[in-house]
Amino acid sequence: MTMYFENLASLIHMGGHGVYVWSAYGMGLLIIVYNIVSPLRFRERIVSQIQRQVRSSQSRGWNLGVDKSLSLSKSSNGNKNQRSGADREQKLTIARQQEDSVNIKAQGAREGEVE
Amino acid sequence: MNWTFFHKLGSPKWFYEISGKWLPWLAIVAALLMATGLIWGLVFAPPDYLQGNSYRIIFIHVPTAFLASAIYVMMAFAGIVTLVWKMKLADMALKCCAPIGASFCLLALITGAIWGKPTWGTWWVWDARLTSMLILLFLYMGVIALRGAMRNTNTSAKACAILTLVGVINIPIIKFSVQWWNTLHQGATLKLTEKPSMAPEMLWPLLISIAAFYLFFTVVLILRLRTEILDRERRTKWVHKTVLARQEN
Repeated sequence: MTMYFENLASLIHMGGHGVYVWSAYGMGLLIIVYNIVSPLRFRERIVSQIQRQVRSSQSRGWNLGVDKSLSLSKSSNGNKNQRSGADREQKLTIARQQEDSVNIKAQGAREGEVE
Repeated sequence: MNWTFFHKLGSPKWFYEISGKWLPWLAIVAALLMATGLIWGLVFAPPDYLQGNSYRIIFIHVPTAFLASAIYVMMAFAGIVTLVWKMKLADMALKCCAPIGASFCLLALITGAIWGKPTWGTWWVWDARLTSMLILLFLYMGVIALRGAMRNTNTSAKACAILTLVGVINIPIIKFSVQWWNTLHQGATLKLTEKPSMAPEMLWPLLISIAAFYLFFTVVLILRLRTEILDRERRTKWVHKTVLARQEN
């Protein structure tokens, strides 16, 4: 198999069609990059959200999930004494907000059942 | 018949675990095929005797246009499964397909316009193929918007499934538009029932690019689906374990 173009200049020029071909491939690259970057950023956001959620529920001594062993082992690692007061207060606020959002979700689910 | 595989397939946890194993391999094969197909098409394939070098756009245009329709059909199947069996994973797939399909549909329209300028002398004409493809883009955007407008997961799943199923009427219109109406758009390059009209040195890179784009779609769909699973199952034990394990690494 041989290359069709003799040199780089003719590859770029493409007999006058270079502008069209290269801009089409450029757009293709853009869409490909979007399709890779967008799910990775989505993943980062969701994972850190869930991590925060799990940690704050652990520091309050209860767990959003069903896994009691996990929350007990983590909170017994000395969470209570090491944290400063302000830090703890902030965590509580976040946890309360999350509790609210969970309540809203539960309400939504009930509405769905009625319908 | 043994239906356990069907139930397993519907289990988000099972899918999350198995897809994590496949993903790197699929990604490597997709990247290799993509590089092979596109470089072959750009540099090694001979020019077209009529269109010259502008036809090289085909190696992006045809795979993405194929995919844009195929993804929509897939979403319609997912919609049926959502409505009939209420399978959670099917609705997640429907949701995750939409932005990917929309982006490919947009790319097919843009590359088509760029190809149209040197070939037809115009960026755009309101002919059957182009218009029906634009409607497909609007359908994708409609599904995405509808999802965003509803807070309740169950209701939005049902509504999106119905909208997708209504829109599927557009797919045969896209497919047969070049036969039913007089259009500027050329007829199908590849047909399942006939021998290809293309020379093999152009056909091979095209087939490789099509395979590459399908695999690429599979990879990015799995990427999105895995996050969607974590999001919706965020109150389960296994998701907590998974995200905490990531943190410690």
